[in-house]
Amino acid sequence: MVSIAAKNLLHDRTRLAVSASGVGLAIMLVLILAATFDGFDRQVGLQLENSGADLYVGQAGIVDSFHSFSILPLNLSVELATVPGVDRVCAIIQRTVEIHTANDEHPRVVVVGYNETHNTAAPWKVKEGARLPGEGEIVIDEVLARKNELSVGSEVAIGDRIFQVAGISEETNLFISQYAFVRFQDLQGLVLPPGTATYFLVEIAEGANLRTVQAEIENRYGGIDAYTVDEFVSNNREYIGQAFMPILFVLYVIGFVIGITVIGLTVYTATMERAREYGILKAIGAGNGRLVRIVLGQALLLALFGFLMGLAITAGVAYLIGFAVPEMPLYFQLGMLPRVLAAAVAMSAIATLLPMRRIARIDPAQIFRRG
Amino acid sequence: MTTQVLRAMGLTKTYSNGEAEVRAVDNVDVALERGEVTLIMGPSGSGKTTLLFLLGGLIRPTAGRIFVDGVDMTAVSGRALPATRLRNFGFVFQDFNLLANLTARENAQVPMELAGLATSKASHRATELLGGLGLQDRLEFLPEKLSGGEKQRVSIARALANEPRVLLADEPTANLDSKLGRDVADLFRNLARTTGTAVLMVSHDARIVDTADRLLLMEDGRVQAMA
Repeated sequence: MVSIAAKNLLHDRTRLAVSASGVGLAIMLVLILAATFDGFDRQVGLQLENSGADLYVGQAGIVDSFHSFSILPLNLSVELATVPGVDRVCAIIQRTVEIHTANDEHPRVVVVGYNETHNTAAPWKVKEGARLPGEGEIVIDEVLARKNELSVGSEVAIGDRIFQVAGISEETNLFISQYAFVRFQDLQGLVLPPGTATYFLVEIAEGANLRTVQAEIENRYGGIDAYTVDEFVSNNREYIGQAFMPILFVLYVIGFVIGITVIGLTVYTATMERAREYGILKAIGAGNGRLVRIVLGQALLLALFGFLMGLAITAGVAYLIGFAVPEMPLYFQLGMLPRVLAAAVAMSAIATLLPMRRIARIDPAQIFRRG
Repeated sequence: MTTQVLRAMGLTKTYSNGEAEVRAVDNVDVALERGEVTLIMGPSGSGKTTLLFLLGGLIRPTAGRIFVDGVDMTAVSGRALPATRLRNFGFVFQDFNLLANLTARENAQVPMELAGLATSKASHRATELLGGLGLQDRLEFLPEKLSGGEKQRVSIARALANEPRVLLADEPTANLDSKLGRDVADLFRNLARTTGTAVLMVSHDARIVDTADRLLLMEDGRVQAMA
């Protein structure tokens, strides 16, 4: 079929560009929101997933990393190691603290005291310098480094202790704060009372049953909870989801409504301008169904142009965000694209309802009436 | 074998105008023969355009029946009526009414594609039709680049695209100068002769009377005379 829809739409290219940009902005809003959420969702799990542990043992009532932190006696480590099925136990310290830079900045970081002996809870990916900090050294997140003009060799203070930056890590940005890593021994007595740790990372022996070991630890010792890494990550993600999802949902809806409005206005205007031509087609013998397909075709084409425009705008905005707000963890998943495209198609379908009603009412005889 | 392609009997169309009832077409009988040109003339408001609407299935009669090749059009459902128009009628308008964003060729191929013909075949036939009307050099021109006579020939090609049984033309010469108007009227006559299409023209143009085989004069919604 001669593409009347495409020709009508392409006839006024300026309007098409403006409309596609409008739809593109709505698409961009949805994609950036999704990438922000997915970025956050991904980041909150990475440290735990790369910790090397099977079970995460903390003070009873601590269900995630955000609400409060756990304090447990360090010698619990020895007792946990006696539980059948446990291969080894590593104590770690993890607290949100202020660090002090030479520029007199005081960024808040989640400092992790990693276990040097077993190499657990250490940074898993570095961009520059050493991955594992030595005595008196610290590995900091790349966003933290960039925002505070820190580099390998810079000095930062935690309390009254000076650490030299030995490495810059990647994937350790949590949006509101970033991770930093020092040796467990260097944090003892600095951010927690001496002889205490926040969590114990438990690795189970080969062939042991994870659930059995988890239950045995909880049964044997009061006042502690043992979570699998998946459970603890899931708790973190659930918290993030509960905190952000309602806001994101509202913004998603706003983006969707903007998209529908732009497509609807454009298609309705284009339909009204061509009402006489739709009358001609009706007189010739086109049924309402055929005309609706033309209008829907216009809307779908506009949605497609808008989607492509949205991808381009999103790429530009993501670059600017990375430059201006590096702590915003954008994570684009390819799987999101078909869903957004489907949303754009849905926007088109909804946006054509009004023009469809108008077309259905066009009287084919009206085109004989002159003047 | 009958040569009658359209027959209307007791055709009436009334409109209400406040409390008064206006009989735009009043109990008209019309028959269109294959290969004939019929011209309807009459003063403004005489009901000739309304009669054209009725015969072409663009509006429903208040009373009366219309048969096209033996099929009662007044019994066809509203949903099926567009397809009936597509199969049986070609329309030529005073204002040409071409689709502004389509080329001459695309305008001519639209009815064929609406009828289900493949785009390539429709394009080929549109090219042939336009070539036959002397527009082989204007195939890819948009309507805004065509002269009035060329536009009217494109609209005629579009009307003939599906080889209609009846070609209905509303003041087809009104926007053309006298020579072009005469050419178009002659074209209708030749088309009727060569294709067998029944042509019904509504016109005020007395200069084309001699191109018609039959002349109907209308006044006050009634056919007053036939010649």
